[in-house]
Amino acid sequence: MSTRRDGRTAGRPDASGGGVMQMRRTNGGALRVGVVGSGGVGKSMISASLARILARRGRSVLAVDLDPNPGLAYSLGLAPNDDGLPAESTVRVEKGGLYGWAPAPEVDLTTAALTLSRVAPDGVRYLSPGKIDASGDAKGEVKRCLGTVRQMVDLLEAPWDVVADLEAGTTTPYEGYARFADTMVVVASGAWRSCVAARRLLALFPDMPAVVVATKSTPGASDASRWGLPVRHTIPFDPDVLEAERHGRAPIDVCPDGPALSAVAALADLLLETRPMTVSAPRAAAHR
Amino acid sequence: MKIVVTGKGGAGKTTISGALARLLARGGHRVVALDCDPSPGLGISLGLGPEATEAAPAVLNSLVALGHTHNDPDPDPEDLLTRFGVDGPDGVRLLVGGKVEQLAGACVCCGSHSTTRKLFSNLPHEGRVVLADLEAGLNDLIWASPKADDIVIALAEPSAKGFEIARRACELAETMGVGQRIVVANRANGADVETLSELTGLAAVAVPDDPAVAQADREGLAPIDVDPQSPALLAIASLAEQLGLVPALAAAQPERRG
Ligand SMILES: Nc1ncnc2c1ncn2[C@@H]1O[C@H](COP(=O)(O)OP(=O)(O)OP(=O)(O)O)[C@@H](O)[C@H]1O
Ligand SMILES: Nc1ncnc2c1ncn2[C@@H]1O[C@H](COP(=O)(O)OP(=O)(O)OP(=O)(O)O)[C@@H](O)[C@H]1O
Ligand SMILES: [Mg+2]
Ligand SMILES: [Mg+2]
Repeated sequence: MSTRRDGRTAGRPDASGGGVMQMRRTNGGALRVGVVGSGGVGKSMISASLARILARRGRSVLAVDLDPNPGLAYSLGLAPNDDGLPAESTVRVEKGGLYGWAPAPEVDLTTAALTLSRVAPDGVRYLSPGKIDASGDAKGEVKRCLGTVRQMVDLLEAPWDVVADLEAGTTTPYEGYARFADTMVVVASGAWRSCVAARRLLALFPDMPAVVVATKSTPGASDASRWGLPVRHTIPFDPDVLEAERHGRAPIDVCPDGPALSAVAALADLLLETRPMTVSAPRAAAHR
Repeated sequence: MKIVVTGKGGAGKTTISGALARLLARGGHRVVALDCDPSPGLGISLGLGPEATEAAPAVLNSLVALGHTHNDPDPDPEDLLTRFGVDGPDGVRLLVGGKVEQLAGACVCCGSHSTTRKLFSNLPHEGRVVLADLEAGLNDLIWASPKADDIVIALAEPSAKGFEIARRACELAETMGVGQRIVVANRANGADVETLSELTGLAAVAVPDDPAVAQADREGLAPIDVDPQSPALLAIASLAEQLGLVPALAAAQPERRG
């Protein structure tokens, strides 16, 4: 085990703002966060708001959409579309009779986050696997792009804060979609089902630092701690968030100073304070 | 009769599936409720309570524990229902597909994509209602592959993304040749119903936001056991009528079968 080649273990984060080039030189302490939880608890709202809050603090942020259903782009304030990755950026790999997808060898992983993403408000970069459309071709295009995006994030060498929004539930975390992360944000509302799902998710990653977030809490009502979850952080119910999402607007553009967004900002502080500063060997070697 | 309930994460699939199953059972139907979410929880909305819900055996995990592999022939679905089904209130029989519990556990990957997802297609539905509560998103709808004489219920919570996923689900169901497609605006106001109807070209059914439902879910109880006359439950009862499976008004009345 050694430090990453990109020097993530060295030094404090660059909070001075500025462009990608600058960030690339001083990338210590970049966040690698996977946001998981049962359906509709607010994963996309949190991922998107977190990404934009980090970007507003001058950090380079890659918001990775690991859900083939429409969601994250709306919460980011980015016009949603179904675009995945161009065919030439992906390559089919066979292994033991099975096949998967990976970034094509020509793809420069230090710049892939820039070249294959779209620019969202506040300069957040949005990397999407494409979306399942009404044709129902989930196994074709989306499989190709999702498989590649996963790998790309795994292999990424640039100093980006990575915030990835996973699909609802336990399936894709079980399948290893959050392997890239060094911290898991596990989200639960007060409902029994969401708490049991959170417990199952925590059991899937016994060795990964996790921050359990109770969402949509209302004064007086019991929240996730009632069902035995070690709640670390709470995001209150904010009717303005609901209203924003109802109209397809990013919550941070509608109620940036409201209770929910303030709580996401505090979550950003918490993640930056507690982020692991040592990580395992660079995985990019396998790509070459 | 087979019904699949689909929609965005948190749209209310499990809540509405549970209530619908109970109401159909009270209306005199034999109901099999399939929990197709690998993080199962339908038992709560059926009124089994937290302990029995967690204890309900999952088909896939049980089979794997018995040495079943994906190379073995598909087990007889009727036999699976007998062996692993659990009876709940009003006689609804719950069958849980698979459960993701730990990384080192059962081979849920191949299983949840074949064994359990085939259950919906393979379980005979003559003389009973088979109601499947799917995992969030469009992928599971594709796997469930409902047929012409099945019913697809697409739910949306009141958000632009929720509406869009419901729209895609309706279109997918149409592509699959599903005859009866129903779109439901859950936790919705009048404007939401209009938006969703316009987007899908179908007359959206409204289920109001109901604090009694949210409260029941926090307690681990079935909304129908807390207040069967609450606004959301009444709306789900009229949905049952609209499906043509329950005579008007019968649905909301407990203990009156037939
Ligand atoms: N703090 C909050 N206060 C009020 N409403 C909220 C809050 N967070 C999220 N919501 C509402 O919950 C809905 C679901 O949020 P979101 O789409 O972010 O959840 P998700 O976990 O990503 O869902 P999915 O499982 O479908 O991906 C949003 O449309 C929004 O209306
Ligand atoms: N009509 C309603 N009024 C108030 N709360 C509701 C209503 N319908 C659903 N809810 C609440 O919304 C949350 C999500 O509901 P539910 O678990 O049924 O959704 P789901 O679509 O099955 O989610 P998942 O995608 O995780 O399977 C629950 O906490 C539930 O109590
Ligand atoms: Mg989401
Ligand atoms: Mg559900």
